[in-house]
Parts: sequence; C-alpha cells; structure tokens
Amino acid sequence: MIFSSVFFIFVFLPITLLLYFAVPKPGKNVVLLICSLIFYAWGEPVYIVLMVFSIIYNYISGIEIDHHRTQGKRGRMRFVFWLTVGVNLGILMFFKYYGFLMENVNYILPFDIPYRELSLPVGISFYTFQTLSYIIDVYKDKVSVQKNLINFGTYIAMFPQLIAGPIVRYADIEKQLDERRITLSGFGNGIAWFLRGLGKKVLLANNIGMAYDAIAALPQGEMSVLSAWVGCAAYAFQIYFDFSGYSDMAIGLGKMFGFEFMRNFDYPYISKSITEFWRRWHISLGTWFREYVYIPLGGNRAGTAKSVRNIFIVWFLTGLWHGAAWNFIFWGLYYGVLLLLEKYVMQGVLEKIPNVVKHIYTMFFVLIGWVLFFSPGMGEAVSYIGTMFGIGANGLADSAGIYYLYNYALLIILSVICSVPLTYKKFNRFVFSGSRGRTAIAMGAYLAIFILSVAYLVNATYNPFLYFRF
Amino acid sequence: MATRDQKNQERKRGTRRIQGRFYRRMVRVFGILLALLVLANIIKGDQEFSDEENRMLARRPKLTWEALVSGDYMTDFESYVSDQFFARNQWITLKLYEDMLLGKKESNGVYLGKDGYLMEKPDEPDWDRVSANMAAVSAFAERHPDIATYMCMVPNAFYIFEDKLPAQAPVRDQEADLQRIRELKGESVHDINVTDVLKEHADEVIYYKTDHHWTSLGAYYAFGVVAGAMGIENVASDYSIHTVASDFQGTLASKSGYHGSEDIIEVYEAADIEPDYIVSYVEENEKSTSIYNSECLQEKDKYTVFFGGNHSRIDIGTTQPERKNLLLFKDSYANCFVQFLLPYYQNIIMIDARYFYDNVDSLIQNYGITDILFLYNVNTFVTDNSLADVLTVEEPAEGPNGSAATEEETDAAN
Repeated sequence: MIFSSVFFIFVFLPITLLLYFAVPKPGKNVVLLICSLIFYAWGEPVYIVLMVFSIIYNYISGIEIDHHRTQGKRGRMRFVFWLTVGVNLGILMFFKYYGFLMENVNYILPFDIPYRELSLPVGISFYTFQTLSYIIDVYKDKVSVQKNLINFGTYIAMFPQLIAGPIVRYADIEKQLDERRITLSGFGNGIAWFLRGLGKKVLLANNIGMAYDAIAALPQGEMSVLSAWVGCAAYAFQIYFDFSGYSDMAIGLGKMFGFEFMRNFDYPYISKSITEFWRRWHISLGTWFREYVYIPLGGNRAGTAKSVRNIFIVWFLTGLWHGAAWNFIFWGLYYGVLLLLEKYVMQGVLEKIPNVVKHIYTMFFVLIGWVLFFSPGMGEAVSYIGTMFGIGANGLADSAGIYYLYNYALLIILSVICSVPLTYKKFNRFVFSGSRGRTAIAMGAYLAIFILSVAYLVNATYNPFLYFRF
Repeated sequence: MATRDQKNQERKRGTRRIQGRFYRRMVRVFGILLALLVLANIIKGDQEFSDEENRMLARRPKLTWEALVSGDYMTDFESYVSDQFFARNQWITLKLYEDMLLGKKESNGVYLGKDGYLMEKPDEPDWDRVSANMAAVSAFAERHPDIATYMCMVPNAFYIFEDKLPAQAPVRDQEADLQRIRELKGESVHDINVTDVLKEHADEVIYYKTDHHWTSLGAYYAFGVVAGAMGIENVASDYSIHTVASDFQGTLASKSGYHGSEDIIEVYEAADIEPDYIVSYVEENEKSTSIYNSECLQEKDKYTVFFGGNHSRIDIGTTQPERKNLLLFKDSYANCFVQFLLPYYQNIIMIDARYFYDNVDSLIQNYGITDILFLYNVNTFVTDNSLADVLTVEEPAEGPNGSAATEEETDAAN
C-alpha cells in the first residue's frame, strides 16, 4: 500500500486513526502494530511471514545478547551478536542480491547455473537496517534491551516509515515507544507535513516524471543534447520530490501518532558541494552508514590510507544498498571518488570560488550521478552521458527537446521554487506573523493541495475502454 | 538590550500561538473534510458502468483465500475504491484542468492539438511485419496477374494536420514511412497516392476532431483519386449529404479524457446512380439493406454507424449490371469509404484480415473478382500482424477448385 492512493487516505488511514484514538493508552501500540502488519500484508501477503519472523528473531536475539552481557559471558554475547547480524544480512542478501550474484557468477563461469530470481520484499532494505541499528546498539550497550514484543514490533513494522524510510534508529525512538505526547496542534502539524509530502509526490514528482519517461523512451540517436539535459533535470526533480515527498508523508503520519522522526531531506539541491549534498540527501541513510559502518571501521582517525578505504567501503555499500545492479555500485563509488577529491584535493579551491560556481559544480555532478542511477545498465549510462555532451546526439537542440522544455517549463519553474528553503521560510513568516486573514490563505493553500492531489489519485484508474480501436 | 530580547521573545511566543491555533484548526478542517468524503463514499451506491470511460467500473471484490494470498483481492479492492469514488467524473475533469494549467499538451498518448483537435500519437512501425505483409501482398498480386491490384495507404491526421499539432510536437515523418512501404510493394501492385489531395484540403474537416478516423469528406476527396486510378467510369458528380450525428465524441475523446469538442458524422449518397444492394455479414449470417446501422448512433462510438463496426467479411451485392467485382482488404478507415464505391461494382467483398481466417484465393474464383484494393490507414498498417497470414496460401497442394468446394460447403453449412 502506498500513501498516495485513494485507498490509503480514505479507507486505511481513517480506520487506523479511529482505532488508535479509541483505545486507551496501553492499547495504542497494539493497534499501531496490528494496523502496520495489515498495511504490510496488503502489499506483500506472503512476505509478511518474513517480517514477522524478523521481528520475533531480533526480539529474542536482543534479549539474549543482553542476558549474556549481564551474565558476563562476553564470548557468547559476541557469538549471538554476529549470528544475528549474519542472519539479518543473509536474508537481505538472499532476497535482494541473490539474482544479481548468480548473474555475475554465471557471467564468469563457463557454464550456467540455473537460478530463479526472487521478487524483492517491499521495504526489506529499510527494516533490515532498523533491526540492525537495534541489535548493534544493544550489543554496544548504547540502548537498553526492549523486553516488550509489542513495542519492538511497533518499532520495526510501524507503517509510516516501513516502506521507504526514514530509517529510524532505535536509539532515537526508544523513549517514544513508551511515552509520547499527542497534542491537537502536533496532530495538525502532522497533517501539514503529510499534505506537503502528498503534493510533492502527486503534483510535482508524478507530473515532471512524465517528461523524463517521454525523453527516456526516445530511441538512441534521436535524442538531442537539449533533450538529454531536460530529461536528466526532470529525473532529478522527480526523484527528489518523490522520495522527499514520501519521507514528508511518513514524518507527518508519525506526528499524527505522536512520533518524531528525523527529517530525511534538507533541500539537497541548494548544496554548494558534494559533501554538503550528502548531508542533505537521504540523511537517515547517511547517518546509518556513518554510525554503523564508517565509524566502527575507524572513520577518519586511523590515518589517510584507512580513511580512504573506509570511504570506499561505505560508498560501495551505499550504492549496493540502492539496488542490485552494477550501475548503482558505480553510482556509489562515483560519489566516493568525488567526496575524496573534495576532502583531500579541492578543499582549498572550493573555498575560493564564488557561490554560483559552487552551485553549478555541485548540480553538474549530481545530474551526471542521476544518469548512472536511472540508466538500466552501464552501457546505456555511458551513451546517455555521451549524448549530454553531444556525442551521438541528434544535434544541439531538436524539435522534441524544444517541445519538452516548452511544455514542462511551468513545472520545472515550480519544481525549482519548491526545492529551495526560501519559499517555505517566506510562507511560514507570511502566515504566522501577522493578521488573522493570512492563516486563512494558508489553510486555503493546504486545501488546494489536498483537492488537487486527490483529483490525480482518483484519476489513477482512469482507463477508457476503446473497442473497435480501428 | 533586555527590552529587545523581550520583544523578540514576545514575537516568538506570538508566532507559536498563531501556529498552534492554525494547526488545531487544521485538524478540525481536514477532519471534517475527510469525514464528509468518507461518508459520501459510504452512502453513495456503486455504479456499474461509466459512460465517460465506456467500461464497466470495478466492483467490490469477493474475499477468497486465493485472492488474498496472491494479493489480487487487495489490488482489486484499491481499484474498486478508486473507481467508485464519490463524484469520480468531476475529479477526472478537475485533473484535466490541472493538466491544462500545467501546460500539458498530451494526455494518455493523445496530442491536444489546436482548434480542439485531438490527434493520436503514432505507433512505432514494426518494419519486420510491414515487410512480411508487403511481401505477401506482392506475392498475392503476382499469383493473380489478370486481376488489377491496388494499394491505398491513407495518412493519419497528425501528418495531414501538421499545423494543428502542439508546437514542436515530435512526430514521425509519415511521408517517409509511406515511401518505405511503396518501395516494398513490388511491380504488380499499383499504388494510389491520396496524401496530396488530403494535404490540399487540410483546411477542411477531413478527420474527426475527437476520433482517430477520417471523415466522410476526407474519404470523398480520396475517392476522387482512387476512382481515377482504378479506372472507374461515370463517377457520380452529385451527392446528397445527410448529417446523421452532430454530437459525436470518438475514441480519442475517451482515451484522452478531453470532451471539449464534438463532431458531425455525415453520410454520402450518390444522387442519381445509387443502385439497390444487399449487405451480408457472412460470419454473423445476417443481412441488411443498408450499409448504415442507425442503432449505432445511440451508442458511444458513433463511427460504427458504418457497417456497425468491423466484421471479418462483408459481402455487398448490388444491382449494378456491369460485371465488376471488388475484393477489398481493409481496416476501419474503409468503413466510411465503401459508400462511395457502391454504384460501380456488382459485388464488393470486404475482408478485415484481423478477424478473417478463411481462404481468400477461393473467393477470387467464386466471385470472379476483377479488382483488388488494399485500403488501410498508415498507423494501423505499420503495426498490422494479420495481413500476411490471410494472404499466404497454407496448403499449396490443394488446388483453388478444391478449396472453392470447401468454401461452398461451409457456406451451405452456415
């Protein structure tokens, strides 16, 4: 089930909210857990078994690790810990990377080993990282063990962040599982977050995504330099509004239930360096890798050589996390290289150049990065990037390129406006500091987002039947 | 200093107060709105059929274990909620306005052209199939050297009405596609080029605004060229034109969702030389004394007024005394074209290769065919995958007489 659907907004969410606020406090987590499991099973009726297993297994492991520690049996504790990490990663590897692995093994071997590619359980990359954050922190004695299965299950399965993050670390949410304050204005703030996210996803991402789809479908050799850049920019906006919109909806839903999640995006496209970009893009993933991979490996404190190695490990894994394909790995390593260059080579240079140039420099490499990301394979990525620089392109600008630029001009402008913090800052200052009428305008704006988005959602099944086509 | 801090703090407190009030009101406003919409959806009865979309709407799915495990129940249920949503058509209209506001120039594979014209985005030609079809056409014509074989490929609206497309819309150069088809046709097939005459009349309504077909007027202009090429003599100069529908909204209106324009459907009757005729729908085993089906004017797709749509085989026998018999391989563009051919042939056999599985060579024998015409619109032809099968002789051992016999037998059995 996805948030941006008629079913979620008009059936699932109202029922869940009614139940949640109807039951007394001790029952709230039970309601949330059951509804979350239904939410997951709605899209993955079979893999729900896998998730329930994961919850129970990690719950028991956490208790065991803690038990061995209190008994002073460090060896056993370490054994259970590594076993649990292995099982979690093993499940992730099996479902996410098995097909990819076999494909590459078969490529190397002179004969083919038959294999069946598995469908990926939705959200497995996210909830596996959440369970790992718990297990690692329990092992390191940074958080106390969760003895309540309902609370633990709620943490793993909580539907707002289940499918696409943010990746909530157990430490951040530990207290809220027991004790959280739900206020009317907090709930309203959650609605506002949800609506902004909904608008980003439905009005901006889906619409500008059509420009990308149309351009990506152009046959090789019929794409001009202009088309290639418009397509790439459209994709950059699509993925940003899609992903950050989804995160905003998650944060908003969390607030409705009294949870505070970390923000996952912080206007990444205003960054003045690649380093800054990754502090603003998918923050929860970056934080996770820093906390649980980079720092345990020694971070940057173990000398330059090790620090370079650590950065490459982290970015190899970041790429791989995004998908089981070589272009994702290259995409990760590409950023690893850029970050190292910024850290060791360009530091002095970047400080001196004007801000405008820094913005252009950053967006240039981010856009090239998205080509690696969206291309179905490395060959396609290379030829698309070639087209962007005129190699194999159908001229500098052709009618298709002008057509798409012209038709999506308004959406591109809207997307730029909605990508910068100034818009939101101005909006907030306008609304909340002054006369009463201004809040009415803001309410009208939120209502408009809602109504305009619902129109697209209802339209999702618009499916005219044309008999006697010809 | 202290006073400024105090002022700042006061302002912050004020802002927070306004924020709190705003968010609390937000809960009430959206709580009521959501409750109303949910209530409206509960109260509202389910609708079975959507006129707008011309399809059955999704109904509440049955809960079974299999459907639950496979996930079909969930997807069906989501379609059900969406399909039966309160005021669905109004939401769809709103979405179209939003699209227009955002400056979109296409919807669901349809260009939103100028002057209310909707034009289908052309399909990517499948040249392997086109080659196979053209090879079959060519071989077919060579197999029947004493029968004149003609080919008329009708270009589509997006090409003829180029200036009505959205500015800079990237479309195929259909003339190049036509050229490529012509190169494949072989010596024995005569090409009839109607592109020029249609281009000449591009300022008239020769294609429907809301449908992917040409109008009777377009067919009329093309007929002038076809008649010349096929040596039809004594061509009618005067027609009585009847408007049979003035509120036609065709497939492109449904497909795109844009219902802004309406079309007129006209039928042409040759004034002095219209013969009597009888139309046989062979597979359906039905007969009619008119090529028009007025019942279809009550339906959504009013273009089906011509022959009631596409049929595998239609025989038209006329009182025309001269022994001229036409075998016509066609798509739906021909449906409104045949009205112009009626006065000049004793028999017209219309074959729609997409639905026809019998032997065509035997038809030629049985009916003493004197002319063969392939009439297609380019967009259908370049993706057609049925013509070659119909034209190819499957059992070369069997003589034409033998298959004629089976043909007669099946006719008798029917």
